[in-house]
Amino acid sequence: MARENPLVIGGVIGDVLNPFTSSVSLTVSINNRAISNGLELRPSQVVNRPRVTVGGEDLRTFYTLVMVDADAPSPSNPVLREYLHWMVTDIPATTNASFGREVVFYESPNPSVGIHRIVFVLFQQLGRDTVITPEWRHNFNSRNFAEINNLAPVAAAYANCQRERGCGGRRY
Amino acid sequence: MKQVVGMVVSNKMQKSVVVAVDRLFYHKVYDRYVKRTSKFMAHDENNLCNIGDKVRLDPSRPLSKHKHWVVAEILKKAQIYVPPSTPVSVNVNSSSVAPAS
Repeated sequence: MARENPLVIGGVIGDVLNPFTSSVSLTVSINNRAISNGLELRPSQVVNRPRVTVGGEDLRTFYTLVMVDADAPSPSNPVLREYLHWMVTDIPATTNASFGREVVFYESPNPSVGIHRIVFVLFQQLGRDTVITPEWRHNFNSRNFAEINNLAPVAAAYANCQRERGCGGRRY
Repeated sequence: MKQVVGMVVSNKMQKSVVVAVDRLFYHKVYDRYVKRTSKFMAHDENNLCNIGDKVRLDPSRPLSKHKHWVVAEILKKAQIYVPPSTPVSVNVNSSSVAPAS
């Protein structure tokens, strides 16, 4: 049932991506701990770039990893949606993100208002060096980016991140 | 997580309601069914819910510290009692001025 999909419940499918079928395993580890969809994070935990492991079968298949904030600058008024925090292209299958080419350097999320969704999306490329680097971090659009570069989403994961001293707080 | 149906018990907040959801479970010690109530905070974007409304909730991402449900549909509006308006009696002699003593 589509409703049971955590990406649907979390609003990732709809706000960030169109419905897709996951075909490759994507493991995102923060401090040697694999994140599950909806995990609560604090900015201090994501100061350093996460370790991302990509599944697949053939080393000749390349993937692009995108990390975006779907609720920038605040969930009630996300005028900067999506904010691009990190982008790595040309990741060979069965390896991790360190084998790819970091085209947008990692910027750690630091939400000030509300609970933000930090979304990791893995796209399959048509070939090597086929991805055009975006000019801006803010108002990045995953759908348009995938369409322009002929990318297909194959996996996604998300975590919730809120300010360090906050405990949920108000959304508005 | 699945959709749940419950009754609105509070709508004092802006864009938020508290919904009471009843469930029955079989108690094997007492050999009977027991009712338990859970209260969930839910997001009501347009402030449409009133106390007593029967609503269906959908799970969502955390919207605030305690709120991770959204009001999907109002199944039944509450019957709000409106007292009948009493006719206002107009005193005809009110215009007459009392004689000065």
